[in-house]
Amino acid sequence: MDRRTFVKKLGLGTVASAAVAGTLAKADSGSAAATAPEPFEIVVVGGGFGGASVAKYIALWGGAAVKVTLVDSNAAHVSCILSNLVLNNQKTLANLTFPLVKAAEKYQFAFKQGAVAGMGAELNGSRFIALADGSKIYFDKLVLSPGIDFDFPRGMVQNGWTDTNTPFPHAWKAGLQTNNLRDQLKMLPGGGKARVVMTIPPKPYRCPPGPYERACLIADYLKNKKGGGKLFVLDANPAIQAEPVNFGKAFSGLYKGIIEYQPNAAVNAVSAAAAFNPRLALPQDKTINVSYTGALPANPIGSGQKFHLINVIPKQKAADLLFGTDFRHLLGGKAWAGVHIDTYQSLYDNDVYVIGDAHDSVQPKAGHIANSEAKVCADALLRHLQLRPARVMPDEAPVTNSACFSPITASTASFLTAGYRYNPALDTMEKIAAASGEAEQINSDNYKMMLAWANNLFAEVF
Amino acid sequence: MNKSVLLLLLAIAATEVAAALPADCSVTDANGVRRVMQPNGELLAAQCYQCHGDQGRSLGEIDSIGGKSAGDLYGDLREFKSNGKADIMSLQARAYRDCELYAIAQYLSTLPNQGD
Ligand SMILES: Cc1cc2nc3c(=O)[nH]c(=O)nc-3n(C[C@H](O)[C@H](O)[C@H](O)COP(=O)(O)OP(=O)(O)OC[C@H]3O[C@@H](n4cnc5c(N)ncnc54)[C@H](O)[C@@H]3O)c2cc1C
Repeated sequence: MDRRTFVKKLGLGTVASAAVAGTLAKADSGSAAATAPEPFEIVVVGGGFGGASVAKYIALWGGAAVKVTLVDSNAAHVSCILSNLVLNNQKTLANLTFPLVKAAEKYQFAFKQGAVAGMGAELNGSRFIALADGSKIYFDKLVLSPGIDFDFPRGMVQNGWTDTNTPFPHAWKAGLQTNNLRDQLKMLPGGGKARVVMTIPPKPYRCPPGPYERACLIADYLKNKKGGGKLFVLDANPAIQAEPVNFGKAFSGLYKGIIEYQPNAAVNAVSAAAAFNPRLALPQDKTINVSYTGALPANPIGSGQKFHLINVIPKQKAADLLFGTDFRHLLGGKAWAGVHIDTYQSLYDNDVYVIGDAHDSVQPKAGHIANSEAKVCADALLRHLQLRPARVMPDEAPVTNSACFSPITASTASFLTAGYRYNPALDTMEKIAAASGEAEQINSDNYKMMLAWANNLFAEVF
Repeated sequence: MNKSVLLLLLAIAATEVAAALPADCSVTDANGVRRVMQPNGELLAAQCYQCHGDQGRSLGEIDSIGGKSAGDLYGDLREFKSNGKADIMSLQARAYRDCELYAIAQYLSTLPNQGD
């Protein structure tokens, strides 16, 4: 934004610049130019946990001084949170689908459906994002919360395979692939004959406990619905990445004989003889090529072994949007967008902010904390526009928090929580050890709390 | 009660409120000057809403916290912080300075009350 527009938007043309921040955007009745200043135009891309939350709080705290537009390629966001419960039929996608028009009405911002394809500037300096249909939306400040995309192993994606018929649904973005994976699970053979593989990507990836939670739910399903079976959990990491005590207990206790956990296992390739066809029996036709980078496990998987179901959760990176020509500079050569971690302002572009899974930090890539980051970002962005007073340290050191509830069976759960605080000396968000930990027990109270938490979080965001 | 006694009582009440400010609200700035820090209660309190609902208005089993008395909220938060337990609320309370918990309690008390 050039300085002239900035001054115009603040209504400062003839007003002394010493006007108190916070009242700036209101018309100054004492000045000659008593017309209300134009509101700042804020565009948010991505209506998931980060984006819908930041749109809400910029609109709420910015009031009449801002005009907020949320853009998402889809009319509704499907929550990944609780989506593993679709696999064992405790939830449906419909329960987890949130129309963004409704969120926009409720929290007073505008919603525009469209896939963002580019970003540019007019000769006068006005900046815009471009949608796939060629239309432009102008912004003074842009917040991106586009989530993740994947680096697929060889053979996982093929022409003609769709979300509904791919034999390899990752289901790591909730949607049709989640139903596909549910249906494949349902069609596994009974009598303890099912042979299943799940793979966990190298960190960082979306939802650190998520893959272990999924392993538990698949094992629970095998145990109770399929007379047992075998689930190989291949982890690219050297050890369980979250809630190691509770997941460790579940793997070696509750699911002993079903789950075989193999760390240091990287997937190179997968293959299937055909697309998934829900009208035919689930064939035992899938193979996987694995490299073990540590000690060989007791039963290493060779390329000759065949499985009914292979659920690869692929390696992750910031959403494809950020790898596009107009946005790539925000990555600074990395797989995630670099930001000033106390504000989420891009390291490479002062008018752009990146929150949620797509940004680079020690905070987990998770929905609850994406909402937490959104509040810190909304506050900082409004300060940058001089709509709120400048931040004073340590009074306003950003604090964020995370909570993930993990179902372990169809009626019990564990949890993981963490707190992070900005350390100005190190310019980083630091994990607060005293505020972080996993549940002391796996129990049904946690399961109930999980549903209560998710309902409040969903209503807070959407 | 005559007017000057009332004023005196009010003055005492006011100092009591001031005296109740947590000790860790007092900070030394870069120039070595002591001052009272002023955390942003609105922003900090918003970090409670993921679990306790928008504006502290919970839909289900988790407590609503909007519109409760500041004294009760601060007391509860201090209790969570120091109880040595490892439930989510106790862990989360340990993320904050007392001064921040105080600001959170003050802010939440200004929101509409939702009952229990
Ligand atoms: C199985 C599972 C369980 C999980 N459980 C938990 C949990 O218990 N707790 C927790 O905190 N987190 C959990 N998560 C993680 C959580 O879902 C994500 O971290 C969270 O959704 C990240 O939010 P985000 O805003 O970064 O991205 P998202 O929520 O993915 O939103 C991104 C949005 O951007 C849109 N978009 C992307 N590109 C474009 C474009 N070019 N143009 C327009 N729109 C675009 C997408 O359509 C999408 O709506 C879980 C995840 C999974 C997979």
